[in-house]
Amino acid sequence: MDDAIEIDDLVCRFGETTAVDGLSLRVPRGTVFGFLGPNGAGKTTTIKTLVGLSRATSGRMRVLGYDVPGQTRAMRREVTLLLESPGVYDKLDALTNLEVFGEFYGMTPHDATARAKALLEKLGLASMMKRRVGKLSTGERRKLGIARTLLSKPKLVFLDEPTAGLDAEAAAALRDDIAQLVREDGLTVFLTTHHLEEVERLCDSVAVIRAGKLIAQGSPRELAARSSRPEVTVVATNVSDAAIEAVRALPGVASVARNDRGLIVAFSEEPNSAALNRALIGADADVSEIVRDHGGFERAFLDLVRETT
Amino acid sequence: MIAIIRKDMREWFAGGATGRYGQYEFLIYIALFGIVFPIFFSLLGTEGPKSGASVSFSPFIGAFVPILLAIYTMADAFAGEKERGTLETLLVTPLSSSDIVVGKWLAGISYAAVIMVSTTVLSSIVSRVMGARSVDPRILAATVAIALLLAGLLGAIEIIISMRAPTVKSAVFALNLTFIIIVVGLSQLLLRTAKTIAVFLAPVLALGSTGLVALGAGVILLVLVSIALLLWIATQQLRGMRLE
Repeated sequence: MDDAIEIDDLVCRFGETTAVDGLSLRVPRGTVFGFLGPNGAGKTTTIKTLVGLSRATSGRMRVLGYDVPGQTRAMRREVTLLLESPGVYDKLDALTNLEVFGEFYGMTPHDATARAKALLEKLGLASMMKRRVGKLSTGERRKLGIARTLLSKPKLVFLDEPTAGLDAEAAAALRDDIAQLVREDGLTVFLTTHHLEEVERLCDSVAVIRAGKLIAQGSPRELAARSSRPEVTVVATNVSDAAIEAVRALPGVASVARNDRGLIVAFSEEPNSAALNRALIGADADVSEIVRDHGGFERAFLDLVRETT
Repeated sequence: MIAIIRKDMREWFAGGATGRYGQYEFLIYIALFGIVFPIFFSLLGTEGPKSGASVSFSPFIGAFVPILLAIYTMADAFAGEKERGTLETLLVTPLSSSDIVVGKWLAGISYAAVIMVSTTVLSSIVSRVMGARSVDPRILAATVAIALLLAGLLGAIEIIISMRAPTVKSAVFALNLTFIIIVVGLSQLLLRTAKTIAVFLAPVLALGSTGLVALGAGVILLVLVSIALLLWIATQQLRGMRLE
């Protein structure tokens, strides 16, 4: 089966600015794909180009087998989009909003209402289905936005920062909801976010872009393994400059920095905690704990973005 | 198209076209132009038995004032969706561009028509109750029809403006500006060529009633063709925005 999204050498220029610069990607069907990068990296431009809201300067795109922009109308029957705004009508109540979008996607009123009620129930909005959207909280509006994108049972959903503006608890709850709904419906999700724990929690594979260029691609685990440098936190007192020099002299030590608990030591190879302990004690430091930090995806992402700055 | 009409009508009847008076907005307009104005004019003595006026003019106001409302609803068609962050969501739906444009135009006209007909009928009744002479229903029907045609024409222009305007206010401002330029331009033209116009009007006035009816039908046809052309232009613009 062909991929849900195929992008070859996509370039998007706006005057002097190049928002997307030679991007090539493949997104397999039935996966959650994280599209990451710092602000202004070209994420939203890529999404808008893929759904036919922005014209590419050059390159080739296929979404669910449809050429973009040649077959955008047919493609839109199977694709939905959630941008930073939830895209729902404030004057209408939550249920009517979903019914309206059901009609836009050619659903019968009966089917639209039934599906809308089921989604509102799943997302914990059943008690406020008759409340005007303008009176809902930011988190509730976001959830309604998610319900809107899933209403027509699309094959592909673009979610552009779905948890932006939510507090940690609401964001975690919404993440759980998205994970559950994606699992149940088996759809493909193209997700952009600045919340890296969201990526680790939801994404099967990830692409990182910066200044419109692809700089890394793989699963979150692969990227974490490929890019992150091991670090060790040393909880210690009486750390003299001589102790720091002794640590710096150890093989494989890339950098040493003080923090309020003691030291952070970054390694370019597998850390040797015993040698580190000996060097510090030898320099009269009082070491109470040495904690190995495995880095993880967040550090890998930051390293990737910094390396290419 | 029906989906768009239903959506827009639901929004306006739920929250008002201007959003200032909530769900009761259309009732406020109907009460204002259908009841308050006729009573006010009668009490002022500008219409009613003591005014000396041959007919009541409140129904005509009731027919024409909602044109402004129609213009406002059309201004909201795209600029309003842009302001509220719902335009992109709408543009990526599988609805055709012509369905969106014509649906929004029909919804705006229908909303204005409900208010126009209600205010015209109500103000006729209230004026009559207050003692003014009644207006021939055929004249009132023709007035509402002309007002609707005018609302349709201005609304179609406003839809094109609304697509390019960043906000509803700027869309309304742009139409007002266009309107002022047209009115000032036409009035200057009329003043400068008054004699020529009289020469042109002479054969028109000599047409007789049948000829005048034919001329009126021609003008109506011209307005309808203009509306169709403007909506076609708007559809092409939207197709460009959606890369269709």
